[in-house]
Amino acid sequence: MIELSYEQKEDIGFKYVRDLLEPVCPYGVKRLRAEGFYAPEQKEALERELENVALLRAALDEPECDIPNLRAALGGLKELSGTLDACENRALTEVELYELTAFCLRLRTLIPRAEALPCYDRLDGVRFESVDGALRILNPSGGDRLSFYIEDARTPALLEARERKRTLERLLRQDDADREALLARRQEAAKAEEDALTAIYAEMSEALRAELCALRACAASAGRLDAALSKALLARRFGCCRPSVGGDTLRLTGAVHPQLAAALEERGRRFTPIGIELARGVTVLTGANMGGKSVAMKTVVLNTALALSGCFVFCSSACVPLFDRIELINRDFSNAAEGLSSFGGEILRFNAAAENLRAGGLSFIAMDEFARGTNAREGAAIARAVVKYLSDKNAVTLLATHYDGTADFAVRHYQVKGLKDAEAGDDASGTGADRLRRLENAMDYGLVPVEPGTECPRHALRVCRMLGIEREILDFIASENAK
Amino acid sequence: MNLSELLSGAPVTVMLGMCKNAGKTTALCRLIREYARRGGECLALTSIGRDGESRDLVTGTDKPPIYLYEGMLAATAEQLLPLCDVSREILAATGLYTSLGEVVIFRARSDGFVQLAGPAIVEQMGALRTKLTALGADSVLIDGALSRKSPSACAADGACVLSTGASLHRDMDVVVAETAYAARLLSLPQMPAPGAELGRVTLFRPDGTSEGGASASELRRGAGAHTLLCSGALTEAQARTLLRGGTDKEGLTLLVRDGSCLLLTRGTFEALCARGVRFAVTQGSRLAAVTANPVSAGGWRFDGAAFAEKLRAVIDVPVLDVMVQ
Repeated sequence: MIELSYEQKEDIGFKYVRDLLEPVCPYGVKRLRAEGFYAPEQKEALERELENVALLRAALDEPECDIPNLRAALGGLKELSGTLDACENRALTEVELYELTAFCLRLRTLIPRAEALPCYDRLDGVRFESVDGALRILNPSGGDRLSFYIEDARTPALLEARERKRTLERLLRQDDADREALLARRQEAAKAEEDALTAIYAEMSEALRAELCALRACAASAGRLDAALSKALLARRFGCCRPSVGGDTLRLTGAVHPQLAAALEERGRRFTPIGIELARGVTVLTGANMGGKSVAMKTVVLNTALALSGCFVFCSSACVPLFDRIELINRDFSNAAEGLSSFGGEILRFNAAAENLRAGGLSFIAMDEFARGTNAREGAAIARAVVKYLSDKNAVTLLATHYDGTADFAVRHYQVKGLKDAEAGDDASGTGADRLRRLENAMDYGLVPVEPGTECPRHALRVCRMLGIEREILDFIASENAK
Repeated sequence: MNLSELLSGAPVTVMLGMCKNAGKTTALCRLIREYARRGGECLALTSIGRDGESRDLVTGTDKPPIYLYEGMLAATAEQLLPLCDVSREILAATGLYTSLGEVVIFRARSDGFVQLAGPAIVEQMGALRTKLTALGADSVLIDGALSRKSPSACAADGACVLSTGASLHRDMDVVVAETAYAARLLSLPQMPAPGAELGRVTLFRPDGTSEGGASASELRRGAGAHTLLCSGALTEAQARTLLRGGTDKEGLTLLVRDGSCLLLTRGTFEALCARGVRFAVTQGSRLAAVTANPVSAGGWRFDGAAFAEKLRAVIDVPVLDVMVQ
């Protein structure tokens, strides 16, 4: 089962995207919160959820679909799970009965709007049941007035108590009334009214028990519809596509990371969509510093996680295997708190991922510059050995690295296209921001497949030069290289 | 004298008390009765904090219960509904919460006793007022139960009734002077802020320039009339600093949101006035009346007529003895 920590969800941008979903009713919020990731054995459920999103996404483009009104009706529903549960065991209070009345009346508005969706009959898990039975109990006089009051004629006891009380209240309004005596008698009538109402509330609650199943089905349907509709709206807003799920090859084209794309857009820049294919075994990703390896990795992990949580993905096409787990092995600031160096933390995480592999199932392992926290020679040896180890395991692994030789045992090797020679001059003038802008302009963030084992690009010095490192340092390196 | 006539046209009225047992609930009950007799207007009731219980939960003294009439609206906390013996039609659950549960609005379908507990936050009270009005209330009566004077902020476009009584102090003159001071704070002239707030305090100069800062003493004054706008409360300490500062205060207007923002003792307020400082508010509520209760919960009592007479001598609005009139 896929489990990502809060920090990991935040780090890969998953939380950012899920926060963009805007469910309008508490049942939708609850549904999305509880949804988590679909396991391989839940493939059918995942397909059904994606189909729901696809159907609603299509409905958004149909002019006769009144989505704002549907959402407004969904938004009127209150969370009443506690009241429905309470009704099983005890008599509801007048406020709870009012809330149930309001719930049923709002469902009466919502249901025809939902049923008007052309895809309504094909939506999975969205079946509103009639609330007429519940309303007959709650509001026997009918009408759509949103209030709760038990009419006098409901029982003879209530009628008698209220008439007696009303007579006394009329007398109390007179200036010459013997207030003390009248108030005492009124108190008795009020007690009789309360007793009559208590009996009525108990009777109503008992009758409502037969309707709880229908009411719960409506609440669940509202949650399912609201959650899927919020995903469809997000998909329309960002032009997301439906992923196909299954197989053992992760294939993304035109993949974007929306959080980073938004940050770039604020600076007047555009995110370069990436395309990547990851088969069982290890795929190594190399490239220049500042070339976007980590961004590419996050983009892949995010879209994988989104697909497996029943969302459309930020890609032009996507094929995502039903992984049993996603293992993120990257720099983690929590290591220090646990008394671990970043290197130590990485190794322990890798151990856990290796242990999980033994449990069976398909893992997706993403390793960002694995073993970079130690000396380059030993780090390269460790990274190379890890690639060799993982090459025949039941895992799809993506490893970003600067180390040469790491890709020798990889099934695939991608490189960030890197610095465009024509534009990568030596100009280090201007402010830090100017230099960064020039570097970004000169960088091609696209990924290109290369022969596994191709030497890592040597762009570090050029990046240093473009970012305006001290001249003396560059001169010293040049003199050392000349020797 | 009819208290409700003094409030006619006010969409909201806040009942304020100088202290516990000042006769605020008595005045409230009287107002409710007057509205019921007059008819034709839908009155809604709520409270800042809790009210309507038959004994004061703080002082343990007897309190008049709140009796409301058929057709009136009330907003109270869910847990207090079983303590209301009026027949109720629940109209709304507001989504506003108190320690006694969600605030619920009902219409009285009979006469009867109620216990009230509404939101204690000014902004929430604004939201509740909007809901009450949407449900048909012509006039909203807010019992400022918890605090004595600050609820006046809820009635920026309405009226206040201030209740005072012997429970405040054994010395009638002290009660009269303190009540006159409170009445003065509730009757400050209203003026709009001359410009945008630039800090906790903002000084507006006659030449149109302004300067913001954390305290009044750090602002540089120039010649002529000035306005000093305080974004929150003006405390006693801040006012004393202002008082001690050697600068000329003649012609300075101290502008606050409403009278409840002036957390000054009467002495400091009067000392500032003596130096030529004027006070004004951006959201004025109208003080419609003062009610006087000559009976103290502590056992002593004033001569009712003399007490009312002394209050009338120093207060411009009508003064009513709630125990007599």
